[in-house]
Amino acid sequence: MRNGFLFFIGLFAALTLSWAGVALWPNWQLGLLKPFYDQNDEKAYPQRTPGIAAEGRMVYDDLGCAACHTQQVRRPDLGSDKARGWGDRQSVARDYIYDTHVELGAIRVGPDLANLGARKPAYDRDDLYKLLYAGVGAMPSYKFLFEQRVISSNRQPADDAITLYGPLAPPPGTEIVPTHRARRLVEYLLSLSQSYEYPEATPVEPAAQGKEGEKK
Amino acid sequence: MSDEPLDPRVEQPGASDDSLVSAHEETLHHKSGGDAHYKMLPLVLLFVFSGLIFFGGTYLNRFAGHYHPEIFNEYAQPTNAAAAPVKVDPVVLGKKSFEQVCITCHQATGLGVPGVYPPLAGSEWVLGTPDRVIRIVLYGLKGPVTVKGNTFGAAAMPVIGKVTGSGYNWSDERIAAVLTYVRQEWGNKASPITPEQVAAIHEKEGDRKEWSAEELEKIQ
Repeated sequence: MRNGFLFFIGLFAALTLSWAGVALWPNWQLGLLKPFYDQNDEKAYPQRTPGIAAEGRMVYDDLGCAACHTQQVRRPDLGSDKARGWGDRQSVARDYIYDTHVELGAIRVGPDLANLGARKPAYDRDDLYKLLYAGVGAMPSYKFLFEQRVISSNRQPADDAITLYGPLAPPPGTEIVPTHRARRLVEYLLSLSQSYEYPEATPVEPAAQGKEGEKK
Repeated sequence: MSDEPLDPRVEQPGASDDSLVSAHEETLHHKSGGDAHYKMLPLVLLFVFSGLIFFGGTYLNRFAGHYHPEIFNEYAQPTNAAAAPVKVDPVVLGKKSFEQVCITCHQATGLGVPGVYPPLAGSEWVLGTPDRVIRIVLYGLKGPVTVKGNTFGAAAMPVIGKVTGSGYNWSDERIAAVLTYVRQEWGNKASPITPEQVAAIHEKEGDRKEWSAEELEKIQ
């Protein structure tokens, strides 16, 4: 082929420049993001995941929760995320700066979990244990995260045994107790919070959008 | 010399002069399929692609969010809000600080505990000159003190400021914030206290022991 070398250089340059613009430069740019220090709270946000929750993240990976649950909230004027109570603001890059890998997810079979720990009304551990044990709708039941134990007189009943009624209730004299994996997973889920208002996460006023739109 | 028959191709040329000339002529005017020769690019395509590039550039310029890592809305403008230090609201910081430390003795109502901890609401020490109340919080207060006609002597006000022997080491800003909060809460209506006022007194007094009420009363 004549000019084969030139052709190769052109192809290489086109692909390299695209990759640099789409992947390399944004990676560098977002890598420069720092935690946001709030002087009123005297804390830096985002806050790091506590150790037990960091272990729960591994369970989250392991069970493949990200196949059905996203962890990214869209901004209030784009979709119904705010109306569903998933978050009052959109997720921003700074929310994820401490995550070694981000559980963004792609398909929302179940609800978004990015702000689960800051939902109102708040979930408590028993709610989440019950959801995991029983499953709901498309969500399968994760009974293997729990063990059925005999309540014996020589052992204290577990304080986090889940209270179940109806057909799911364990036989009398036994209790359903979450295993370590379930405890860690639930701690992780409750640690998920994107409620801090970063300056860049503040929704743009609809008035400003309209003004900009009129100029077009 | 040789009896071998010659290769007939040697003797018989493959083409005659005439046939070569005619073949060349045919090639020179050849049109395979009739349209294999180069044509100019239609001029209209030049305009179409220029228009597309112009549209793309304008669109990116308007909606790419200035390629800024902190812009997530195509209508947003880059601001220096993140670069500028966040303004501390003294009432917010003061309320939080009060609820962390002061509330233990002086109570959420600001009324203290009768006979043990003096009240802050309506107290002449709180509402009076800033010079005294700043000194009390910075360095603490020991010994009997009369507030609103009642004498309190059972408990000492601890050292809060960033001075030797302090258990709290609060910054001057934080002391100013908590004093501003205390002077404007529970119906108190006194002037706010600036960090500069606290810093000035801190610098003037340096390190010292707790105040007594008599010493403070000499300060106007």
